[in-house]
Amino acid sequence: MSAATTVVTLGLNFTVLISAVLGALMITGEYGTGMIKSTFTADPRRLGAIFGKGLIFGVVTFVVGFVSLIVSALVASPFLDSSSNISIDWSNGTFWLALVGGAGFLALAGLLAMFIGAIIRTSAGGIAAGIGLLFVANIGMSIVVGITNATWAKNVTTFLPRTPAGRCSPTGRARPASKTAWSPSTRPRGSS
Amino acid sequence: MIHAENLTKRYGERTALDKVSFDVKPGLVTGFLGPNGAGKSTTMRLIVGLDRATSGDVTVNGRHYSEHAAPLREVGVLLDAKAVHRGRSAFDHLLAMGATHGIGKKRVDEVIALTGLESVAKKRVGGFSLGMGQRLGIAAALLGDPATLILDEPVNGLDPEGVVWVRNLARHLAREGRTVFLSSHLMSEMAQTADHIIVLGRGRVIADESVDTIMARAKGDGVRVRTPHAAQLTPLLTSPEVSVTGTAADLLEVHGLPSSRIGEIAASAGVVLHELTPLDGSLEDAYMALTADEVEYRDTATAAPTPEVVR
Repeated sequence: MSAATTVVTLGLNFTVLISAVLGALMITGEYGTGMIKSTFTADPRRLGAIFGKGLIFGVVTFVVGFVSLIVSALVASPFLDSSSNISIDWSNGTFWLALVGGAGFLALAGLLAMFIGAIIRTSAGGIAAGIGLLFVANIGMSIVVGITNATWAKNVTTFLPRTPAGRCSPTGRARPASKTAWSPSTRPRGSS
Repeated sequence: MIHAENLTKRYGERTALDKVSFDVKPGLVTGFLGPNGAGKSTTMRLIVGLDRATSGDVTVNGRHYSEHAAPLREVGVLLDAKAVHRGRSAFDHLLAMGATHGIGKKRVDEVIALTGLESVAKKRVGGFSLGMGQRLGIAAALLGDPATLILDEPVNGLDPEGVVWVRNLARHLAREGRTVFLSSHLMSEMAQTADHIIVLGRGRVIADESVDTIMARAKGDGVRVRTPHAAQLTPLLTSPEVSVTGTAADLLEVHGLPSSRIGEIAASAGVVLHELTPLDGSLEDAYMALTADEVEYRDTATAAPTPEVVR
């Protein structure tokens, strides 16, 4: 993963916060207003309504995220060229993969928060739990790993939602192009 | 047509509904009465699947609510008039509800006209008064032109004109052959609207009868007698089965004797009567007597409130 990719996707660390909050509000807002009763009387099996929301939210977030990343790359490109000699290679497949992975991370993080919100049903709780899982859990686990160096702790860390994100938004180290951002790995490595 | 069989709902230790069984028949307005906390709303939530029964079963038009392919076309329900996104207009809310069932703008306009919401249809629901919110809730219930209507406290917050409107609407819908199920805690209101009444008390059905039957039972056996010779008449009427109480110097209330018999006794003793009136117990009294033992929240007692969240 090139330095250019790193710069372009750096903002994801912040934008994921927005998508997680939005995702949680997507469903908890309905519980807040009571609208959910109307929704669930119209769709008493409920799953259709919830997955419908998820689909819309996921697609919109992905598209907005992807377009934003391209725009930010276009805007950043002249500055990078002149100031630090970092150039964006638009023909590089890995670069595009990183953008897709970054937008996908935004969408999936938001969906995660939305489904947590669907379980918790209050806005404050949904947002707190979503952000806790996306931001705080890795810090907590890294402390546990640091102190105990236990294998289980490393394994748990591998499966935290933030960990694969480190592979597509390059807060981690470079990966071979053949290894996609979302390929599952049982080895506890690559976490930032 | 609503069919409930042994519906039981527990919230932890608290039993909200205890083996409730009843039928709500088409073509009639069925009133659902009970003191606060008796389980009326819980029952209605169970009917439309917003809550799951601990045990027992309830079907609408022959199926569980969730098994209907297009539930809004089968059952119209008003549970909570405020179950609307506050920032949305009444029109948009109804259109969104309709969109889930392929109900278009035309029908939305119809129910808005039917509920008299034309002037506020494009305004944000957040600014609605209680009465307008209630009308919007009824509009949403009517949206799918359903064969069964379930309305929880529909007259709540309506002005007298609105109350009459709901009453006429309910009767009109029942006359069209629909099943109309209304809840209220006002017996007097139900007496004027309903054909059949189910009374719930502390989670149990304590009466399931036609209004006429309840009316007939409500008729008291008391007779008011006004006579200047009360002192002379009292011992003539009194017997082990008959109680006579003097409520004023010239006024007696007699229980246990028909007015005709009292008149005969008075005539044979030469007592002049100024008034001889059979007393009707009010429907309200009959209802109070029915529910006297079942009232959940007395002014001195405290109890855990029923959870109202969606489960």
